[in-house]
Amino acid sequence: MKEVDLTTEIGGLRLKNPVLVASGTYGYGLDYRDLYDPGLLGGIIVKGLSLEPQEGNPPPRIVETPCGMLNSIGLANMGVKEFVKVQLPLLRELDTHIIANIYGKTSEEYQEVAQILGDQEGISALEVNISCPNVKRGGLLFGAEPISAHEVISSVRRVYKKTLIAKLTPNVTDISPIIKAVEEGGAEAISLINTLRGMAVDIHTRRPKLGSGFGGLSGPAIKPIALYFVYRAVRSTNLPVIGIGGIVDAEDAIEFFLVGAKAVQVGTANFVNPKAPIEIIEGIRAYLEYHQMGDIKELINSLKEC
Amino acid sequence: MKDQVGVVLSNREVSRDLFLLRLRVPYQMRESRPGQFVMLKVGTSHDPLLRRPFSLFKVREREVEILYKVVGKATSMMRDLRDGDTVSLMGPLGNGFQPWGEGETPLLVAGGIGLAGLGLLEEMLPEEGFLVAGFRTRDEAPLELIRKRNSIITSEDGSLGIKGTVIDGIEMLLREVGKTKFSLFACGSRGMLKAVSLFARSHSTNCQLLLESYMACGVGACQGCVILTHSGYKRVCRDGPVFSSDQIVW
Ligand SMILES: Cc1cc2nc3c(=O)[nH]c(=O)nc-3n(C[C@H](O)[C@H](O)[C@H](O)COP(=O)(O)OP(=O)(O)OC[C@H]3O[C@@H](n4cnc5c(N)ncnc54)[C@H](O)[C@@H]3O)c2cc1C
Ligand SMILES: Cc1cc2nc3c(=O)[nH]c(=O)nc-3n(C[C@H](O)[C@H](O)[C@H](O)COP(=O)(O)O)c2cc1C
Ligand code: FES
Repeated sequence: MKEVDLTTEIGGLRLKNPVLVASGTYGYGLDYRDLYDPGLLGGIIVKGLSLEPQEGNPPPRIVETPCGMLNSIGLANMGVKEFVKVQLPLLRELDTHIIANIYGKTSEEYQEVAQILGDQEGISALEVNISCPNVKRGGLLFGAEPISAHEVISSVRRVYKKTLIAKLTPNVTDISPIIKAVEEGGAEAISLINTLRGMAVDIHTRRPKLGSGFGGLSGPAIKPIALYFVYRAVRSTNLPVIGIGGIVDAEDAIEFFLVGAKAVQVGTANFVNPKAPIEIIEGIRAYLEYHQMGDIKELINSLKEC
Repeated sequence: MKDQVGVVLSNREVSRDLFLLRLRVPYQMRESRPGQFVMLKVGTSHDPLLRRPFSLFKVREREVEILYKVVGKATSMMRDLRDGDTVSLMGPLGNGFQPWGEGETPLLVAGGIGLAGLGLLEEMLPEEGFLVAGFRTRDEAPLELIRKRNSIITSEDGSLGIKGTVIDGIEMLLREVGKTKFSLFACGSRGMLKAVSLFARSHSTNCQLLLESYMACGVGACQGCVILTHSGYKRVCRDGPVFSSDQIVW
């Protein structure tokens, strides 16, 4: 039998398989290399990069919740310049796409980071995290309002020529106007969801369990919400959609393909089972073979009516 | 670092709520250094979701021992492990202790379950090395696991050994052995580690601490486990778990 075709396209980017690892859960790409070759992945999305290094939030930064976890890392990172100097040369050795996740406090900052990365060989695409507080708008998330979402994406688009992915926050009442705004701003693809706002309280100390009070929820607990967001997104835009949220095995990933995702990202599952992304690739292949589909494109968006 | 399946050889209570888990592993872990740990997962359920960090207490040819205290969800599941059950363990992880210096006498300081983090180091201890182990009460102390030679045991209620804390134990030791240049290796609660640090500073003694923190990945990828040091936030899993006591901001 002919080998099944797992390749998928995200804007101008061709992935050898549709399984990527999510920003913030895979460091700068090399932390799991003792366990498997990261080059086997469809792509690696590195930790969110900002113009200057960020220390991040006070600990505790993580707390487990039923079937999930809250984090308040505070986007701690080494800064884009250090990344380009120290990490990127090591990542160029890998046989897969490196996608840089970026963020800023103002749209000018986003633009500067994008400019620096645009000049770099070895970065295939940018994923713009717009789930960050807009300093000029009193901390409201860029991704919570069409106007600021458009502003960020269009300012990045002006300086960045390769594939541009907008990563959306689920902390909104209606995602469609945001999708429209980033599409008009020049995004070639969208990825969703980022974490959901949440908190946990220690009843003995009567304090929040996270050092910064609240955080972002991820893991299996958020999968149904993520799946619905992807379902809605696919039905409101022609842009390719990358599904993220609570994916731990091939069955989870296949659900996202069925509702229309062209690729998926594995996040929190990396912590639980570092080989999850590889097992998911194998599981998708086995599913396609079993159902006699030669190409993942036959699976994508093949959800039947209820 | 490897991710492997460990088969339970035995799992027994050694003192109140303290258990010793012996595992057979496919790959030998003999290269593990004192102070290193593994990320362990029992079962495939999503609740609890994350792996939990545990120090390597003893390592033999294809055999690993973990000494753990039952405190919550994951450790309660560990208590229920039977011979032949399997767990997933990833490691060895972290940096481990630096050896003591020329002319220094190693002194291990364990507070309660802190004993677990000093197991591999204890095996390397020379004849003249010392151990001070402190507990709240007698029934918390796993006496069979504590070396007989050159060890001082303290208990807060006086039901075992010297009445007091590990600091009282260290002070007694100093009175007994007189002028000795010690190098301290401590593991225990945050409060105890702070007290040991202050002691080390006032006696100009080298002191290494094995610190704990909530962890998600255990390998340095998530930035979740940081503690504050004089050179900023450091990841306990990757930059630690062993830190020199003068680095820590309390
Ligand atoms: C490097 C390292 C080595 C360790 N080695 C050992 C060891 O050898 N033996 C051992 O028994 N334990 C060890 N621990 C601690 C152990 O990881 C925790 O006790 C375990 O994760 C608790 O899991 P649980 O699901 O049973 O508890 P949970 O249900 O998660 O929590 C139970 C209670 O304990 C508190 N708690 C849990 N973990 C922590 C923490 N890390 N810091 C502060 N409070 C916490 C929670 O707030 C809660 O009140 C180590 C930790 C680290 C970081
Ligand atoms: C510890 C941690 C750090 C994260 N850091 C980032 C980040 O820097 N940038 C970003 O866009 N998303 C970040 N995320 C969000 C994830 O990329 C992902 O969107 C989210 O966790 C949902 O997927 P999951 O349930 O598979 O984890 C982070 C998530 C976690 C758990
Ligand atoms: S637990 Fe993830 S960086 Fe330490």
